[in-house]
Amino acid sequence: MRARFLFVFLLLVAPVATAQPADRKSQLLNSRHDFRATSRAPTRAVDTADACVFCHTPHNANPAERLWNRPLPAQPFPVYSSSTLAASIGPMTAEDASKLCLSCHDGTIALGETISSGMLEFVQGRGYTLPPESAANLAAGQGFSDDHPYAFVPVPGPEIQMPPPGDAVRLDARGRLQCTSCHEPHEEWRDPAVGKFLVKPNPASALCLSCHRTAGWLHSSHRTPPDPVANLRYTEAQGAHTGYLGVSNNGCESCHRPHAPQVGQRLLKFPEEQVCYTCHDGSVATTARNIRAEFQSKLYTHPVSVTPSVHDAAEAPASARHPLPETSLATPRHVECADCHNPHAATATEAQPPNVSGSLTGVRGYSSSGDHLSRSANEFEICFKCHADSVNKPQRNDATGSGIGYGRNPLRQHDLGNPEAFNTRIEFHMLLSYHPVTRPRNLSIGPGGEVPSLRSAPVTPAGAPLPRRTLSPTSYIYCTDCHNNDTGRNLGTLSGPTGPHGSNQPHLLERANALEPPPAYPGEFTPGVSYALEEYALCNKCHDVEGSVLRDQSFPEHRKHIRDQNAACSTCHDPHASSTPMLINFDLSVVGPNSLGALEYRRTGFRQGTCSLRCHGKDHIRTPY
Amino acid sequence: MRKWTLFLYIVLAVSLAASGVQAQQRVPKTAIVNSSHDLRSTFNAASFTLCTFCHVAHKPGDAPEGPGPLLWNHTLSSVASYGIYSSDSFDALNTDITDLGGQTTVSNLCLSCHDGTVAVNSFYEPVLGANFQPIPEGTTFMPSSARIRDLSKSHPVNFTYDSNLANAAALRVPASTSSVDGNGLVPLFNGKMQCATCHDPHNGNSGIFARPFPTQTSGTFCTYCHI
Repeated sequence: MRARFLFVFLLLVAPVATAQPADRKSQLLNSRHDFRATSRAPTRAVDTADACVFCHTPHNANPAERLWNRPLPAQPFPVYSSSTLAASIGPMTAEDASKLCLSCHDGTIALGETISSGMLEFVQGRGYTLPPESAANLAAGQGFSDDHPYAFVPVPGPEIQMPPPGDAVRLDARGRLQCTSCHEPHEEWRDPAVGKFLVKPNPASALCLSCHRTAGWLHSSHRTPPDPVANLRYTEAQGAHTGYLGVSNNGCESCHRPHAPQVGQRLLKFPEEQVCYTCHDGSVATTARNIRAEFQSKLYTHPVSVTPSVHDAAEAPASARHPLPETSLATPRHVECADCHNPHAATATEAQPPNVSGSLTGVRGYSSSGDHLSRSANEFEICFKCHADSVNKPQRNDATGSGIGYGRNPLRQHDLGNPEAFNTRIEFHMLLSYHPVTRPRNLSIGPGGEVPSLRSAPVTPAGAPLPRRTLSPTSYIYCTDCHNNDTGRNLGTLSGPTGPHGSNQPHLLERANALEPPPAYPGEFTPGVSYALEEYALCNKCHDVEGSVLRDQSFPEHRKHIRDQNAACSTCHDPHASSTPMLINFDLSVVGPNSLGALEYRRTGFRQGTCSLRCHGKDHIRTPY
Repeated sequence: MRKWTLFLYIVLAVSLAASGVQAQQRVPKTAIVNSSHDLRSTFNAASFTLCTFCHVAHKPGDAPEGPGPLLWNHTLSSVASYGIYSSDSFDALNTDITDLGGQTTVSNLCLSCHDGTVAVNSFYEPVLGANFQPIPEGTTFMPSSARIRDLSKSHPVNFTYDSNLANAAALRVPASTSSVDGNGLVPLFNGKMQCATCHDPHNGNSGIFARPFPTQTSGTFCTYCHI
């Protein structure tokens, strides 16, 4: 009986409890919008007793709607635009309530200017307008191009929803987003940490999420940093502007700012990599994720700090303005953090090759068959965005092979006159022999196999197996197994960040892979590389150089070439791929044609072949093994 | 014993004063004297004409049919439409709010001068007395600064202000259908808000003939209802 009574009672109460709380106008008193002479607000009138008159009048209002009592803004300012914005942002119309807000906040009309009572004098002076240096003057600087758009109809899509019914965030009667969708001008402190007249509390960007359903955000490390201590290191001193502490609670505003960010498009707080460096400079994220140091201290980097090198989120093969892969030689190369990372979706999850790890989750890519992917499943697909079919790859312009900022480039035998030279997608996916990046190699291993040198797991520089990794005929490897930080966790013992951000090894290699100094003429004598295992640390990661290669387990002349004659692995082998078996693709800056004009490796059988070439002054005429 | 009673009264008075509770009084009609609603000097009229610009005590004989309430004596306006305030945040829109044009509500009495279409000195019953001259009847109109002709640009009136509306719009819940405060200081008329809800036309103490609102903590009476 009692339970039933309770149920009826709850039924009666429930609608009241869930109803949208109406806006209480008297909350305005003593807020920053209370301009009475007796208000506690610093900006206020000299002797006006009435709080409402600064915006409203009961009679003869203009415009009538909301009984407005102020002249309306007339000065045009640039509005927000972005290459990924689906909605169209036009000029404000007379019906847009935002116009009322901007009658103070565009900085052109005095705060004391009223229709009913003329000019009301302010403590700050008669005719006081919001000065350009005031954060409340939204038009100062870049106009409204650096403010969240307003007075427009949002277009729902995969990442944009209409605010749900009952949400404090509301569109106006015509379905348009206005200043008042996010701000309730009569109540300053609904969010006790932020203020700013927000319509609801905004911890973890709850207010933004009423409309923005950014893919991947729910599980992102940037929503919930895996290290709770690092999370809380993001403070006002580190650039947190909301009043909240920590990356988690600052949410979107750890990187974005709805008004007056430094970069208008996509409302980024700082340009490009500077946003990421806010935390990834060792100050907030752990030193294991100090990425800034990589870019700033290493000899070879993905040059994100080169400006203007601009990533655009609209990049795609079909994009007219931002085609990627690039279709014109004249298009400058670019790379930014966001080319490889999706900060909304990144996680700390580990993965096995070829799959993307958490830090590369949700990034667009380019498949091994040349298709645009909205979400890369494999790591190489991200690399292929720029290192495959783009026509502006820098090696094209590197006639001397000296390397333009990335180290000496071997002049490969099969690259001469090859339009697809340096197209890593073609290399790895189409050629005869290849490292297993996009497809497994299926060569026999072990003593007596075709690749007897292959280890059962990649090893650290000290020789210990890397955790959670194995090698087999069917295994894949990552691009980043070779191109990676030379001082990162990827080396097994050190604590630096992983990933090909920067390295002191040419070609952004993780470990050394020595090249021979070219002789004056190809084929002539060169001192080569005097042998030490460290010179080939990279190859030794997966191939047992001293336990197998130098013991001549595959090619019986390996020891003679490498130890005795100081030849380098790279002089004969192309570490990516080759249209000749066994990754043979001679470096033509070292190797030349023989006295008969021939330059060729020919495989004649299992562990059998002939070489026609001249190298270190030594003529090979179909020299067999 | 008497001393005790006196003492208690003093304590009560002091505590009332200290707590800031100050009962507002209805304004006596005499407060109109010398206010801008006291039109005698403007029209060079006799002292006894103070009330007759708006009211008449008797409608003798074949007096023309006029509005009954408040013994009204001023010619009503024939304006057919004043418009209705509207806004997407106005919760009384599409309720019982109607255009005041052609009606005889208490607000129409105000508008009989304030819409500016009927001369201030236009009466059903001519006011007797030589001193009323020399300004001829029906010649002097409301100055434009005091005219309210377009009610779509004014705070809405002539709508029911009840607890439903109050809850929807975050307003004070009215105490009764005859006043917001329950004591008649902020009156409603059959549950409706009208001009006289905010304005007391006799209150010459206020420059805008404001009602004596029970609280005016903000220095503005808007927040009495707009809590």
